[in-house]
Amino acid sequence: MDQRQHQARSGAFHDAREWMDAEQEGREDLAELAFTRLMSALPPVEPSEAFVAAVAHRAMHAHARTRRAQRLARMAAVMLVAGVSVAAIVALGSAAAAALSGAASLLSDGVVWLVRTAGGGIKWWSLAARVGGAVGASILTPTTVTAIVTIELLGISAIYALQRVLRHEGLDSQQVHI
Amino acid sequence: MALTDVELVEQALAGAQSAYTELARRYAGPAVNLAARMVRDRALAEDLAQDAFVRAFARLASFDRQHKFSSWFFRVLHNVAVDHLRRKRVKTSSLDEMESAGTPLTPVARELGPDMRAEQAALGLALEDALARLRPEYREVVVLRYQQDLPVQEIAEIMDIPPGTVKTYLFRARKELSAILGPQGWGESSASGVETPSETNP
Repeated sequence: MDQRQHQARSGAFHDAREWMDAEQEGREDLAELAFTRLMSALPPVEPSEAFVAAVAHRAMHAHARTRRAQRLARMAAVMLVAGVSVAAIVALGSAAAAALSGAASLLSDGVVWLVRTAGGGIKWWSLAARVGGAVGASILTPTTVTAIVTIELLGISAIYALQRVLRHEGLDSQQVHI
Repeated sequence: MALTDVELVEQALAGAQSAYTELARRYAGPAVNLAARMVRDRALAEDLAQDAFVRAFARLASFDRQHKFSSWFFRVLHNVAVDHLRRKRVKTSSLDEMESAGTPLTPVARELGPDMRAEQAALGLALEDALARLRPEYREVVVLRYQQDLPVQEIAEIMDIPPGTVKTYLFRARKELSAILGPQGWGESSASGVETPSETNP
């Protein structure tokens, strides 16, 4: 046994002996020191030669998949928003036309009614109630209500889709964080 | 001059593939070593380490530059390994449970002879065997503390446990390892050349 081998053997076995002797004697500081030396000399498990290349390959493919999914999600969100906008224009256009015709009808009927009742003593609260009721009836037609509800649902869907896209791009920061 | 981890992260986020590769190269060894100690399967350890790298790279934008990249990455690896162990429902036993179940803690055979390198390797194998018998959380703290040389506070952050629990794990792990290796004769006067008979592990 040459000097180097003797030292190597002595180091490992010396540390093991010193560690276990210290454990038995309750000398925690010495046990910790000897165990530290022993463990630091333990050879680590090494990765295979192809490991790094495999990691880079998988990461690149995962990245490409994520970008494709994000592109599709963005396209879907844009189409949804465009659809909502068109639907809104059509629905509001219809509702606006209905509101305009309703307002015109209301105005003409109101003028006639006012003239007719002007001479018979008007009760203002009665007048206000009749005006309010007439305005409500002209606006809240079934078509208008359906249009408003549809627009709200489409808007909610668009916002949800956009949130999913943004969350994906934000890389779910709440899951891995120190 | 080598780039720091944070600089590599910045380059990776800017799209530099080489930065990803360099980060993987730097932490491949520690990642595979830690995973192998936790799951006790080298091939599986490489798969889990790859999963951890892919997950970390996918979430690189969430890395807080105020912290060390190594801690953040080991946290990801810890989660991947723990998820695997939970899915597989790996049963871990303490030494007391093994003894009460009648599992003998037979010593590992030692090669005796003039080849000191082989004898030292045998000590290493015995230590690895003993380490493999510990609970995964004990193995993890031992590897992070004594092989990665991480402070207790950092280990606590990685494993998401209090620093006091880390110290307890380290203490218990050391005691259990000495309880396994002691009867095998590794702590006796081997260095003086007095050979201690030991049973051969079947």
